[in-house]
Amino acid sequence: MAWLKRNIAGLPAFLWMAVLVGIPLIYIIVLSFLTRNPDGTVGFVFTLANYDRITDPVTVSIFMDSFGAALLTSACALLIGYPFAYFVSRLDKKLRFYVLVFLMIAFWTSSLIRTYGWIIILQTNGVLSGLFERLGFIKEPARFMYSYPSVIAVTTYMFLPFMILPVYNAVEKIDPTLYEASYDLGAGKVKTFAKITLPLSSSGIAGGVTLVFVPSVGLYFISDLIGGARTMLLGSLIKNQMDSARNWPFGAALSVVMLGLVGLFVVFYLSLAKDNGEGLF
Amino acid sequence: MGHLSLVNVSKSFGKTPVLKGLSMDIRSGEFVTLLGESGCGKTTTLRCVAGLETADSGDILLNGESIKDLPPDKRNVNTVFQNYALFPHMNVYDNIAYGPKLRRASKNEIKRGVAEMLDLVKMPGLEKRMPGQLSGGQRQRVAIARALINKPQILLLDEPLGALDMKLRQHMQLELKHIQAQAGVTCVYVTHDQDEALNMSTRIAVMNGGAFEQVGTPQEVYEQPRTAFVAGFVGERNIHPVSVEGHNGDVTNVILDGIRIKARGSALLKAGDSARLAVHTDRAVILPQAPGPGGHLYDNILPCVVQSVNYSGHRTKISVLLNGGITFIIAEYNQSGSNTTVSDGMNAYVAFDANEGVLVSAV
Repeated sequence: MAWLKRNIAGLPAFLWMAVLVGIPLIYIIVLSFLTRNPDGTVGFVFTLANYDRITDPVTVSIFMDSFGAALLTSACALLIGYPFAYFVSRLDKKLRFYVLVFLMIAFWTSSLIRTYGWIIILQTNGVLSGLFERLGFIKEPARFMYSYPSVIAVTTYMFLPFMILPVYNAVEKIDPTLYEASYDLGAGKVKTFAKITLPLSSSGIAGGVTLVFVPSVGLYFISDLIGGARTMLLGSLIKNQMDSARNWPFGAALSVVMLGLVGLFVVFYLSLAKDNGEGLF
Repeated sequence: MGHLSLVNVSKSFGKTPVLKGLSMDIRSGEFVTLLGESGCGKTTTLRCVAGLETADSGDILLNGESIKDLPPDKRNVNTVFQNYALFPHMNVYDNIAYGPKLRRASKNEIKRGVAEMLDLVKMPGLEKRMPGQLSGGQRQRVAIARALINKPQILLLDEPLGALDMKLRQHMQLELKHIQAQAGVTCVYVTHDQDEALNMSTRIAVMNGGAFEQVGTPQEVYEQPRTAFVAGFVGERNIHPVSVEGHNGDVTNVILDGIRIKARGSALLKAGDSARLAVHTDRAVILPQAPGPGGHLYDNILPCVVQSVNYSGHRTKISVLLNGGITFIIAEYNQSGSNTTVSDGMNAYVAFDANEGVLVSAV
């Protein structure tokens, strides 16, 4: 009872989570142990066949590709997002505000619309191809669409704000006199960055990497629209099972395994990040 | 040990000049305090020496060589920052070892150095603590150790005791002096606290508006202020405008609102000059009656009316009105069992010797 009294204010949130996350999750888990009838409906017969099917080499390689792509995306987002966040934090207050507002505006636009925007840039005879031709890098129109690097590039772009904001938040909090103390004790700018800035912003890096990695594992429309049929990733596979293949139990089993693996990854990563008290380094 | 020279150092932030041609020689082993109110340029001066700011003109010499344009990591000076600026993600050992590690000292050498420093600041055995687990005084000590381990030519201290409470501050003043003597390092210390400056320094530079008002030993600055600012800033004084009447041997006669007063002789002033008379509140006494024969013969005995008597622990502050309507404050030291003999509204006499009346320029 005392417990209930203490947490009564959180009850609406709890109900919210139970209805919108808990019940659907249980539904998916139950679904993953059922069978598909030949007509595409769900049969209420218990089976482990859906999970057995995941060990199929084709499915395993799709899992590997997806996690690889998500890792690569996180790495790219970190490489681009960290310097960006660092320099924004060093701008004067007013300019900082405008840069962050513009970042947020891009963020608010539907990601589907932004993906179509990328198609215009990447397609044969598109903006990028035309630019490269003008600059003399290529002789005839090039097609950047339907390739792995393009999928990674667009996914990175899509999730960049998730990297920039936590890193910015962490870097901005560092007391500037710590830099001065570091210079004073004999460190140059590079050493100061490596020994002070980077370790003190590692919580931001951990947050950013998690926020980019988790959603990019299951993302499907970018690999569908930009990658086409050549790059089958987990998100697309699940979508196909639920959608055109009408095999809900297998789609559910794939989702459960993906969720489990992502969860394991995040727990492992965050425990790494916690090891040194402050963060990763 | 380093010898530091400031040669006509000037600096502006935008259009606001903050340092106006500072010149000073700081000898090896000295403990020099830059004393002044906030915004007087004392911290900026320190930062110019550290290399965290660059002087616009003039020069800064360390052992005769210009360091004015060297970056901070190339100067053999170290700073103890006001908020300590300990690295929060490193333990005490790593904080102190930061400098030697950058110089690629050997592991054994670093270990020995850190232990030596922790002994010096009386914190042995606390290597593994994180800065967040230390008290204010301990952080202070780590900050000092982190600077001193680099064997700097000059140690710069920017209000290092500002964040400590009074008791700890007084203790750390003595301790700092002791550490300085042991390490034998030249110190430049910044503070707005005159007690700290008087207690610790071999010389004090009183700063005002980006310039040195007076540079001298604590005694000189306290006893022989050269400007009205120094007279007002160091010590507690009654300062009143006077006009000079003339000299009489060691004594200069001045007129304070119609009252003739004998003051300490000042060769710089001529009859007719206007000046300011400065009298320490605790170097004047209050007498209930005019002194009869046999007592101490004060050079100045001025009738007054007591306005207020305020007990404040070790002293009682008595505010009186002189005949001309001028307010004068006297601080009497209290002793147990004896209270001041005057009370509000009483007629009494203020008395002080000519030597206690210091004349400073009117501006």
